Amino acid sequence: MHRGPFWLRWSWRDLRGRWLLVVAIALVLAIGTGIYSGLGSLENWRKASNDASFAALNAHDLKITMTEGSRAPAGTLRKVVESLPASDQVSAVSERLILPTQIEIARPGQGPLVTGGQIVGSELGPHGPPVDGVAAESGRGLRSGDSGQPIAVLDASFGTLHDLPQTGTLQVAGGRPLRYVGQGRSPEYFLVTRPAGGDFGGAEASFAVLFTSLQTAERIAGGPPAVNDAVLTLRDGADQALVRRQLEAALARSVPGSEVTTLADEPAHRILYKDAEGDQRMFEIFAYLILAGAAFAAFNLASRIVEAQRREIGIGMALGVPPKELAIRPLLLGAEIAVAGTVFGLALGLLAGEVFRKALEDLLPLPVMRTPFELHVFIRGALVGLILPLVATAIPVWRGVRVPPIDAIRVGLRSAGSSGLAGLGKRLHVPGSALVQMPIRNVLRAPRRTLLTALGVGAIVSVVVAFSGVVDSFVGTIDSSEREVAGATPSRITVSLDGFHPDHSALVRSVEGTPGVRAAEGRLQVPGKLASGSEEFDALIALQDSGNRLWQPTVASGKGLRPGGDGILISKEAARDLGVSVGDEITVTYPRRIGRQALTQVQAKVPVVGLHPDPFRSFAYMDASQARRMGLAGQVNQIDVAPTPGTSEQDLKRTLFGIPRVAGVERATASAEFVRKRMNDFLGIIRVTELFALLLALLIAFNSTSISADERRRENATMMAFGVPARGAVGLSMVEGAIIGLLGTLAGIAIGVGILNYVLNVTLPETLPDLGVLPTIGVGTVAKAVGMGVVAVGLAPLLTARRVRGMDVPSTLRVVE
Amino acid sequence: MTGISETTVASGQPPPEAPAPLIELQGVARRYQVGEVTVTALEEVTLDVKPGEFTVVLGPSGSGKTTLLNMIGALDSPTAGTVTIAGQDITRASRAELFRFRRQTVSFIFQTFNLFPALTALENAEFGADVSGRGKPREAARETLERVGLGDRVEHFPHELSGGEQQRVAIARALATGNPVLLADEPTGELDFRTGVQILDLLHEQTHREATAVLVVTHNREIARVAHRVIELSSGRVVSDAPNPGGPAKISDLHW
Repeated sequence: MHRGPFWLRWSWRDLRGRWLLVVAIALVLAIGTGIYSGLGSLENWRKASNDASFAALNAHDLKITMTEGSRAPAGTLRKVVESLPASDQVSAVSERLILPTQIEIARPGQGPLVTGGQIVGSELGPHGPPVDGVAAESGRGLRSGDSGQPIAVLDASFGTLHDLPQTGTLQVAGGRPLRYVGQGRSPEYFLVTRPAGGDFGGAEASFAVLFTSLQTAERIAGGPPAVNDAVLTLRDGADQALVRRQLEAALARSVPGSEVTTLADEPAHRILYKDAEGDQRMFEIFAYLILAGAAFAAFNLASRIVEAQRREIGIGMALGVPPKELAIRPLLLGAEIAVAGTVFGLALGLLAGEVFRKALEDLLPLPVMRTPFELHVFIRGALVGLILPLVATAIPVWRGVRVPPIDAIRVGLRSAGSSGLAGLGKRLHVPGSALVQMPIRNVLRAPRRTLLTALGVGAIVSVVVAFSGVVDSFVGTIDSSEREVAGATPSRITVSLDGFHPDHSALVRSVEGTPGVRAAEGRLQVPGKLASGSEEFDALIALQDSGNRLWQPTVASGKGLRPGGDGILISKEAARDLGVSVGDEITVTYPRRIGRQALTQVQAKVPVVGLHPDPFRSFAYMDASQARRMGLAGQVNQIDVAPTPGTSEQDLKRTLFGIPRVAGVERATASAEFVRKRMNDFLGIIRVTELFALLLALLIAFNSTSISADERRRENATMMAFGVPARGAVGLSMVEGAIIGLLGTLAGIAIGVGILNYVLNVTLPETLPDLGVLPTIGVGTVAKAVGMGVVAVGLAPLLTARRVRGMDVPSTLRVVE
Repeated sequence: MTGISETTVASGQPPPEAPAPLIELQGVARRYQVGEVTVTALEEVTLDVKPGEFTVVLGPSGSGKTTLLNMIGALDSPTAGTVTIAGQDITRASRAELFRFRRQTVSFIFQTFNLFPALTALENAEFGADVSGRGKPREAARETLERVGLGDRVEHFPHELSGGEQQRVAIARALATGNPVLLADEPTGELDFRTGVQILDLLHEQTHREATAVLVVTHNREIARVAHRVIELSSGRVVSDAPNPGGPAKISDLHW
């Protein structure tokens, strides 16, 4: 007898009999491998898209930035570059003038949008700026003919976020009108960050960047042609370090206080690449968890199908069929699941890739996106999907052929052969009748099955808990920051001036006297650095009067600032990162004014006099008297104003914006709002993963229940013979499902909390060092986990209610196995 | 021994004043459609069984014995005729009424025991008492297990019991319901002679003790010797229905 075709024929009949289950298990594997390959590909996609986008726009290799507030006559920086001994290694140089400004943009059908921002004036070639180009996303880009014209391109992130038309008109500080001819993106602003405002980004919501010609920017600034920035690209093979050293030396002589940075120092560049790596560590955890959940489930389900064939295996043994041949049929089943899982996985991988790509486009609006199918990532996941079903089917076969044939074919051996941990149930004094005991006993009776099912559910729940927990933690942290910044005057508006001004100057008085302003308090805010040991990071140091009526930072520990006293108030997060506590001294780098316009950076040891609770570590405070250290005594560059009751915020902002030399007007809590906006984009990827996780949980629940219904046929029939209605039998299965779901959910929540802590304490500090995120699990997240793990798994038996109800009870009762 | 006497003598006669029948079948037929073929499992079956009667239904495979049992147990419905159990016409009963009927009127013993593997012997028996709505189900379960001689095995799971013990647990579960009709489908089919005899003894005892109507379906003619009444089926028809000639034999006289 040719046995090959015989086994194939038999297996084919098996498949026809349970194709739905095979498809469902294959789908479980497919979702696991599909999501694994989708999430696993994100880093490569992001890096490839970053590389392509930076290259496409000739992103700078080196950048010269003059100290804030300083300017040099046009051509100065170019001459410095051209004077370098290694100037032949420089392929292009472009001088720029970057100005802080307030922008009022006309919106059809709505009131104008008033926001803070920046004008980036660059030298223009035929296709716009030759270095750090601007890719038009809508409308048109800049060209050489635009030089000196009142024409600009608006940052596309800002435009998209506010749903602005492709082209339109706007006004910048001083009421100068400009026409924006398109919306575009430039390398430094792929992610908009605020100067010294931390790395989190999200500033595009209320920080508009305008790209224009250098001449246009100079006209807006007024005065003689001047620049404060230059970007340059190097030839292939150039020695970047050498050019940088020469440039720094030359600048120290001719433009003191200037800083030379590389593209890698650029916040947008750093965040994009660091995020790609940091986020990937988090995504990979979730990818592995989803794959593990699918693997547990598929393993469990495939073995349970084969377990049901144990008696047939015993009959085969009794008839003298060699164990190897007996294994063929179950292994063919495993192979069918594996092949179907791989094929579906490929399709789902492509689908997931497409969905993730769309989420990624929202998260990272780069001009060039590269999302090729990452075959090697898919193969890694698919290998698990191929091997697992075969192992899952081989194990029950191995177990089956170990018992004597007589035991294998004996009536009820499989169902009554072992009570697993049911004995434990005897010691658990659960009140209630035998019916009440049954679900608990069934859970204990098959501990391996219970464990695998619970782990499958748990893995999925843990993904949801960790993912949603990240969101909860961010929301909680941002809320906490917003509460701290809002203080007792949440509606107050911060007016940024275009430089340092005496606190009794006409400008300050003009702001204070603006109609609609109830109270005003001046403040000096300067960029700086906080350091201790080898740890150093950027900070925004605010110097304000201890008598400030509008807002004072909360002092969480320490004495806080004293009028006229020395010392600095830093955030708890900063203290933790610097490894200091109240009373310790830290090194503070801050600017000191030299001459009328130039500033230089100086360092001083300053004692920490207190800690504030704002989770943003970059915020630090000193008493206004310390301004003398900076040569800025009696100067302010920001004014907090509280509107009178009934004053429209937009109207007040417009009025304040109309005051010459006012560079920015925004709500004091704007930072928290930026972060919130950015988080919403990040949520896209989370939502996609959650959706697939939910689908996976439902499939696991359905498959598990469906197989359970088969396994419990005789028990259900017996119950029905004794008058227990079908709904009672289904109800018991639901309770059993809910118990397993609860176990899985508890495990999932525990694992999820562990992952969340890992992500927030290990991964996040590397990618988001400026924010001290507090681990938080919201009620909604717990509800989601319970809903998915307990309710979905508990309700799944309802899907089999019809089958149980329509069961042929007499036949089933006589069925031997 | 497990506390059951093998020498119990079956009662010589049914109760002297025969009460109203507990089981009444009038012209019952059951036909199945298998493809284009109509298979007649039962045809024109008319019979009745009184309380306390031990009735054996005999017949070869395919004669309709189990179909008959399923009709009486309300697990299946006739295509013609009426089935009245304890005064209730179950052929007209709704699905919910049938479930209630099964809980409160009949109980089953199966050839393959069909015990719940996750429950102990006591809990299996308690299940029967519990679903029938009997008060103090645990006490009832313990009592019936004592009766079937398993008082010292109550905490054992089915897989820890022998086949005979498992069938006795199944009997305890059926008895614990306290229902007036007990239906047994080849209750000794899986058991050796010695154990089978113990089971028959228990069933027989129940007819005296609680006046339960016991209907045993079997193809084993030897078992019919201990019945008050023997009904023979062939090709779905009752070919004989008569009291045991000379009365039931002693259980100790059986051999197969």
